[in-house]
Amino acid sequence: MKELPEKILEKVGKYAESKKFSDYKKQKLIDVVTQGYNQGLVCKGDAMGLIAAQSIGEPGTQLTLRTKHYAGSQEVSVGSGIQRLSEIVDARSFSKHPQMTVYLNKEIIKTKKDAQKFCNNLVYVTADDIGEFQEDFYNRNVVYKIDEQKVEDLFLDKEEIITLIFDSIDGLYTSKRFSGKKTQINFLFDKNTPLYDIRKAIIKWKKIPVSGCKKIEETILSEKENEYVILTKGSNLKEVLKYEEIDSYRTVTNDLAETYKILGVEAARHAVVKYFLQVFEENGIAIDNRHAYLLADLMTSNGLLQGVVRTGITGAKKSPFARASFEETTKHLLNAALNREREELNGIVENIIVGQPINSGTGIVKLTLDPKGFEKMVKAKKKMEEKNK
Amino acid sequence: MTKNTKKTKVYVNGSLIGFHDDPEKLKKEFMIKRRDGTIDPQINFSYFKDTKEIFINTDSGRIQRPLIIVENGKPKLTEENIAQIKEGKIDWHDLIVKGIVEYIDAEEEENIYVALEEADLTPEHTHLEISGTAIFSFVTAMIPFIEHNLAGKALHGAKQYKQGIGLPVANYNLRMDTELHVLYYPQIPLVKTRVDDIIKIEKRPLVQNAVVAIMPYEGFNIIDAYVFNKGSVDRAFGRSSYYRAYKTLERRYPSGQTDKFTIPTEDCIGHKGEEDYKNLDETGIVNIESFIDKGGVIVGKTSPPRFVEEVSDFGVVSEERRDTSECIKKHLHGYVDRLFITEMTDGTKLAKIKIRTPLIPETGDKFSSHHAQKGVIGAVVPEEDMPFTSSGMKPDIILGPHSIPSRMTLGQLLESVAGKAVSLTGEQIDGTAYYNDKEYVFKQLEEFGFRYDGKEVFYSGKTGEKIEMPIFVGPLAYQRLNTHLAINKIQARDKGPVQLLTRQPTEGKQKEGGQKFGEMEGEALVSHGTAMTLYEKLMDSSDEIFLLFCEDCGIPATNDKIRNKKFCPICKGENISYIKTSYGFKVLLYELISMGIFPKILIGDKID
Repeated sequence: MKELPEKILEKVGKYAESKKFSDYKKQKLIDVVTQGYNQGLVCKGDAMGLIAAQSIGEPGTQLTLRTKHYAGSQEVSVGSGIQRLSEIVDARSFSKHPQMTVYLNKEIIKTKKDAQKFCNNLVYVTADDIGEFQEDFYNRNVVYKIDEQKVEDLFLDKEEIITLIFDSIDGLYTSKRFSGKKTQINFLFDKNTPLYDIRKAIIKWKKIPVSGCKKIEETILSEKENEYVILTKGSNLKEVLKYEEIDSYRTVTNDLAETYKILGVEAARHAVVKYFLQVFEENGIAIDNRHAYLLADLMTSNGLLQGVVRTGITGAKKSPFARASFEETTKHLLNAALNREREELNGIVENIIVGQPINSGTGIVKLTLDPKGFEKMVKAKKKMEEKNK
Repeated sequence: MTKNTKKTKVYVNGSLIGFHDDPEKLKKEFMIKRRDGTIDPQINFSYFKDTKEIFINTDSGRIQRPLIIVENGKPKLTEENIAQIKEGKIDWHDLIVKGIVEYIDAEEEENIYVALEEADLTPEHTHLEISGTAIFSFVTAMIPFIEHNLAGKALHGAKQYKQGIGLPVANYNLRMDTELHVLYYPQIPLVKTRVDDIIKIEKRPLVQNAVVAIMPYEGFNIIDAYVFNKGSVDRAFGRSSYYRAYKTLERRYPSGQTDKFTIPTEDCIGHKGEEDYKNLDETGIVNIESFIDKGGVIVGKTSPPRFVEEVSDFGVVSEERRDTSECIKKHLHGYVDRLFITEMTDGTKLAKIKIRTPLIPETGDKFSSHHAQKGVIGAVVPEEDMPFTSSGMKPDIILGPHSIPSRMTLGQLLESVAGKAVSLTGEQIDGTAYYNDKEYVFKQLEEFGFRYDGKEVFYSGKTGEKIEMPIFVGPLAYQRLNTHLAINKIQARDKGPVQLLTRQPTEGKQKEGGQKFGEMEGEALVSHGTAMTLYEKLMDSSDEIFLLFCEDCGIPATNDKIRNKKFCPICKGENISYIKTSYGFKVLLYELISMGIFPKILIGDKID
C-alpha cells in the first residue's frame, strides 16, 4: 500500500480536527482514506495515455466547430471549441485570437480615470489613426490634418502628438510647416518629384507610431474583484511588461508560443493546462484535470513547447513503425532504413503491426515456462508430499 | 445614367435592355397579351415600383404555379366554365389560353395579391388560389390531416409514401422487371383525400389498414419499433412478393466455341454436385414453380476453357469445359415464377428467369404510416398474448408512445380517430388538408358510444388484468417500405473468404465479410488492458501465420518440402526458426524488400 500524499494527509487531519476525533479514530479514518486512495491509483500496465486521449477525445466530439460570438458582452472574442483546442494541442506559433489580461499596479494607478487613460494609451496608434493626409498632386503639396476629437478620446496631448509627427517625418519634401493653429502640417514638394514617390512616402508616413504598444488593436477596461483589469485584443507581452503601471506578476497572454518565449517552459506548461481546460469549461464539459496535466507534461517534457503533430512530439517518437503509422508512412520507413534504425517493439502500434501481444495491460506480464525447471519443481513437490506422509 | 432616373429600367432575363417611360401601361399591355395567348404563358413580368425596375423572365428553371385571375373582385373562372370542364368541352389548356388561369413565378408573386378562398375576395385582389391543398405536392396532399403535422414531417411522410410497396402494375405476372415488389391484398385507405380521387390511387392502392394501439409492450417497441400481431401476419398483413429476373445467354467466343445450356457433367471444372442441379430439366433450365434454395442454380451452363489447348499427340483436343451456371443471390430463396427464352438478333440464345420470393414480415422489416412514423418490427407476438378490448378486438400493431410527443404528428392521431369513425359508419371520411371536418368525426364516435378521443379500455393479453390507463387505438393506413428489408441486410460469419493480398477477412455483405474491428475498437481494448483479447482479435481471428526465419540473416527462409530441408536463401545456413506473426506483416516485409530495404528480424526468446 502506498502512503497518502502530504496534501491529502493534511486535509484528513483538518477534517479530523474539526470533528474532534480521537487519535484512534483519526488513524482509522486515515486507513480508510489510504485504502480508497490506493484503489484509485493506476495499476502497472494501464494505458494511461490512451485513457487520457479517449477521455479528451470523446467529449471533444461535442465541442462546437465554429467560433461563438457573444453579442454585447464586455469580453474580447476568443476562439472557443475545436478551433481553439487544436490550436493548443498543436502548439501553433500564431494564435488566431491573441488576447492579454493586464492587471494594474495599485500603487501607481488609483482612480478609474487613471486606469481608463492607461487603457487607452495601450492601444497601438499610428499617424493615420488620428489624422488624415490630404494630397494635392497638381500643386505637389500634402497636408496632414489631425482629428482633435480622436486625440481627445485617446487622452493624448495634441501639441505633443503633432510635434512628434512633425519631427519623425523626414525626406523627400522641400519644406514643412505648421498651420491652422498647430493642427495641420503642410508639406511642399519639388515640382519635378514623381507622383509615385510622393504616394510611396505618404504610405510610409501613415505608419508612424504615435503611442501605445505594437500589435495591440483594442483594449477594454473591466472591473474584476474590486480592481481594474484591462483586456486586450492582440498580444505583445514583451512590450507590455515594460510598463511600470502594470502588475507584471499576474499579467498574462493567451498565446502559448509567446508565453513560452517570454516566460519559459514552466509557464507554457501551466498555460497549456489552463487554456486547455478553459475550452472544455466554456462548453460545459467536465473532464479530469489529470488528463490535461499528462498532455501538458508530454508537450513540454524536453524543455520545448511541442505540439502533438508530426513536427512535434509524434514525429519525435523513437520507433519508426510508430511514426510511420501516424503520417508520411513511406518517408519514415525510408529514413529508418537509411539510418539503420532498430525497432525495439516497445510501443503498442508496433506490436500490433508485427502481430505480437502488446506491451501493456495484461500483456506486460512476461511469463515463459522452462520445461526442465518445471520437471525439477514437480519432482521436488512430490518429494515433499512423500515426506509429509 | 443621371438623366434616366425618372424612367423605369427593363431587364430581360437579368440583363438591362432599355428604359420605359410608362411602366404601368407596359404592364397592362403585357398582361393583356399574355392572357389572350399572344405572349407565351410561361413568360413572367414583374414590376417593382419603388426601385423602378421591370423584370421579364423567359429562362428555364423557374418554378411556376397556376392561379385563377381575379378582376374587380370576381374570379374569371365562372360556374359556366366549371360545368364545361365537367362535360369535357374544355380542358386545362383552354383555361390558360382563355386567360382564366395563369402561371406565376417567384418574382411575379412578389407584387400580386392572392385570396385563399372565394369568400375572401375584395376588389383589390388580383388572384385566387385554386385550392388550399394546392400548396402541397401530389404525394404530400395524399396524406390525410397533413395540416396538423410539422412541415418537416410532411416532407418525410411524402418521401416514405414513395417507398411503399403496393400494386405498382397490374400485369406484373407478364413482366420481366429486374426488381419488383407486390403487396398481397392491398386495401383502400379508410381516410382518403381529394387527391386520391384525382390520381385514382385507389385503383393501385399501396396501403393496408391496421388497427394501431399506442402503448408500450414489454420494451419490444422502444425507439420506433413496432410489435406485430402474429395472427395478423398469418392473415397476410404486410406480406409481399419480391420478383427478381435473372438473365443469362449462350455467349459465342471468337474461337468459334459457344456456351451451352445443359446440366454440367462431373468432369466440368467447378462442378457443384448432383444435388444442386436437381431442379433443372434436360435443357439445363429450371422447371417452373420449383423451389430454389439460397444461391441455388437456375440455369445450368458450361463454357469452353479460357485458353485453347494444344493438340495432343493423337490429334485430339481434350476439351475441359467450365461450369458457369447462373445462380440466384446468396441471401434469397424463392420459386421460379416465369421463364422467358428467346434468341437475340445474332442468334444467341437468351434465358430470363423470374424468381418470386414471398416476404413475410419479420423482425427488422421496415413499416411506416403516412405521417413519417417509420419504424422496424421489434417483435412478432402470438395473437393470444396481445392486449384486447372488452369487445375482444386485438390490435395489429402496437406503437411505442414515445414516437408521438416529440414529433408532434397530430395528423396521425386524427387519421386514427377518423378511421375508427369510418369503420363504424362504413363511409369514407375526407381528410384533405384544410377541407376536413374533425368535429364531425368526434360526433360520429360519440354517437356510436365511443370516447371522442379514441381511447378504449384494454386488458393485458398475458394476465387478463385490466390496464389502468385507457389506450388510444384506431385504424391507420400502413405501408411496407421496399428498401431496408431484414432479409437483405442480415449477415454473420465465422470462417469465410479472405483477401488475396493480406489474407485478412473480406469486408461487406456481398463478400460474406466479417465485422470490422477498427482502430478505435482496438484502442478500447488497449485502454481496458485486455492485451490477449486484442491479440486474439487481430491474429487468431484474422491473418496469423507461422513464418520461417533465418536467425543469422533475419529474413524469411525457405522450406523445401521435397528434400525435407529448411534453409536460408542467402547464407544457405540451417539455423531456422518459426515465428508467429500476421500475414499483413509478411506483406510489409516483402514490400520493403522490393523497395530495396533489407528488414532484419532479430529473434529473441524462443519457445519450443
